Amino acid sequence: MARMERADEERLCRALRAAQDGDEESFRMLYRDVQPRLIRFAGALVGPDAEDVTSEAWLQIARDLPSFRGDLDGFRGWTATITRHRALDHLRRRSRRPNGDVPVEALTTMAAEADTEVAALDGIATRDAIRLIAELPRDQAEAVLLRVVVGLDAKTAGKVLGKRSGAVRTASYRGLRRLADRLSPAPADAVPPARLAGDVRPLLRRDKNGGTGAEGVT
Amino acid sequence: MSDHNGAGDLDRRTAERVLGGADDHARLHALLAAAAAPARPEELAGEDAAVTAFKAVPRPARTSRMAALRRFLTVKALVLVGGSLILTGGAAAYAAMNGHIPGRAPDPSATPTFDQRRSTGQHSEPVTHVTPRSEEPATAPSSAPPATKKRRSASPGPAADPSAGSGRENAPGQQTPPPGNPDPPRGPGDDNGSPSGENSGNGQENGNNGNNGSPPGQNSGNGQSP
Repeated sequence: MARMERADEERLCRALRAAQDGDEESFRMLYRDVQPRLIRFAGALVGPDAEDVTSEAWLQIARDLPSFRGDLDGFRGWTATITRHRALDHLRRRSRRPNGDVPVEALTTMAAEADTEVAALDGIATRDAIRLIAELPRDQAEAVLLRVVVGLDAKTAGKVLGKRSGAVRTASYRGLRRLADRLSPAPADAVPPARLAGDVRPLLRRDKNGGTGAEGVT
Repeated sequence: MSDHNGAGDLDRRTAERVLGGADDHARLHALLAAAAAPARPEELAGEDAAVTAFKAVPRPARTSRMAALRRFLTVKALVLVGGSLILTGGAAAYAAMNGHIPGRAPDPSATPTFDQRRSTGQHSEPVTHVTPRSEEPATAPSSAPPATKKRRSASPGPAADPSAGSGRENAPGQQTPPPGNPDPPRGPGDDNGSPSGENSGNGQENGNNGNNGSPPGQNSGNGQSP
């Protein structure tokens, strides 16, 4: 999904313009492209309430779409920003802590359990992947999800999060390191591919650096 | 937590590539690919609700575009009307230079001219009136018609543009108020006919004031040419 073909992107670009002029089919096309990204992103923030949050977000998206200015990437970033704001509002309303990975983890676990019956095999894989990412500290989870799932570059993701692109790169890098940690049952598995591009620095900056050491790097 | 080398070996460059879709790190790549997998049906459950919201929303941007277009058309129509006025004035000046519409005696001429116009209701009449009065100059009838033709050509101009704006009118067609805009230009256009008629009235007056013709003609020319 994050790597769509160019033709699809161009078609979506045209759909964006047409939807801004009120074309319903084009709006549906945009929805089908963006909504899965948004609901997964929101799921990492609010868990089982992701659908409610994205529904609220779409009300605002539909309302403000005619006045939106930007390209398709900008549109995805814009919708992600709206969704994120709605998610944070939702968390405030529910008196849940917007910060901290523990509640997010718990919520996403609940979400996964709630939907298990309906899910197809690939759906379960997706849900597990999202849940695993959502277990990261929130800034890292958001950075990884915005870049991988929503499909934004570091700069656009930075706009969504109110950070510089370098901070987003750092956060997503740390997130990936943590994920790689959790994914590697045996050290031997992950070492060879990593060393293909490896240099000296990774060795200096192992696991514990995931928290701090990597920040020195731009 | 876990101190697996596999994670430790992930450098920033590799991480960026993995984020971009490369499978430099097989497990991470599989995880991220699963996270970005195609949509599941249940994820799109809210589509109809979103579309309903989409259809319920008025389109301010669109209307603003239409408003901008309307504004543009109005300005254009005004320019055309102004142009037609100038053309009409020019035609009158031209006629004046030929001597048909030389002078003016506003007060006396006004009433007769209106009567004549209303009887004819068109520009053509002034010509007919002019011809009888201008019996003396043989050139009068011949030169007078061209002036009217010019006027007509000028007045259709603005009328044609609004009509040409029919494409635009389609858009305005959505808005009932806008018709007001197109009308004013046309109204003025018609009025132009009457002002021009006044000129012709002057011409007739000229007939009355035959001698004054040349000096007033200069005045009229000055007034209208700028």
